[in-house]
Amino acid sequence: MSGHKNNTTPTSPDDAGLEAFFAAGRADAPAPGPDLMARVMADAMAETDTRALYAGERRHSGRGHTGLLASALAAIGGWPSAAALASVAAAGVWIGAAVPDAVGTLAFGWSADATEYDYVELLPDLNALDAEG
Amino acid sequence: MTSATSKDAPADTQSDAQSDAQSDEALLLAYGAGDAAAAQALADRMVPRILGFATRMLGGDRAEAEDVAQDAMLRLWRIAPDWRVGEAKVTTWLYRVTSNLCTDRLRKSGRAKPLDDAGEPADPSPGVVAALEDGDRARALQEALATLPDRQRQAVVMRHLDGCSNPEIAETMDMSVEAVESLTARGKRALAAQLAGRRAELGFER
Repeated sequence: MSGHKNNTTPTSPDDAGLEAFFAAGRADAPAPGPDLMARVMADAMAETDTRALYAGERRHSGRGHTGLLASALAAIGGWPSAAALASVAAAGVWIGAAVPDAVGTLAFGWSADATEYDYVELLPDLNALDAEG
Repeated sequence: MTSATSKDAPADTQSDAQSDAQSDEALLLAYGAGDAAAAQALADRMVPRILGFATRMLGGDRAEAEDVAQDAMLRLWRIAPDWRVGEAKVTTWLYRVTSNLCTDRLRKSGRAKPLDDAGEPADPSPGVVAALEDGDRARALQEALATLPDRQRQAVVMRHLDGCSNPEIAETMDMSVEAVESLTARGKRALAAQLAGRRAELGFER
């Protein structure tokens, strides 16, 4: 910072007296002890460490969120949704393997040699249900 | 982070030499990029200034002034990565922060002296000692400074004890240069009145 400027030069007896006090005050300026300087530097280094830690966390979490899998998961609602989706898919596989015979009507109804719309039976035969009931 | 302890002498000596030629702002930016030696150099420059300023603003309470200086420097460390180059001087920024911290403490402890409270200077008490040393004059000055309204005290301390320029004081205190000059002049008149009766005591009239 700038040094003591000329316009503080005494211009009156009052100023002359004050300047002597100011000079004494400047000479008596408190000097920071080693303890204060150590505390200040400890703060500086702690702030550096905190910033480095924070930057590291941001880098780490940033990498995870940019992955394809993470993006896809985020789009459907995260891991819980993925688990539910897997359950539904497994149920679909089971249904496909254990399809009742009567549902097969659908496939034959659209066979290549059909000449007209055939009756398509989407539900198991009611007669079969009646037989059980 | 251990290089701040300055035990590795050759590297520190070199960085100290480099730091001496760097501006306050360059040191702050270097610290923001992780340079511990820059932080040390900046602390060496700034802490004595704001400690002296805080001590005078707080009526000579050294322990409280040290806490304020540490707090002000902590705020500087925290803003380092976001420091806007060329927007403000580091010293001006620090004076402003230190001043606010001092004002808060004075207000909370009921010691604040707003300008409205400025009355006629009290009659100085007669002294009994014929001639005193500079240390006594410095103490007398501190006592007289403590009687000034806060902003008068700040302007006088920055101008006449810390050697700040009027534009710099104006920027720190958010006022015009003319207002700073007026504030300083009033502060000096009040100081002169406070100290008038002590001049004989303090060795100015023989």
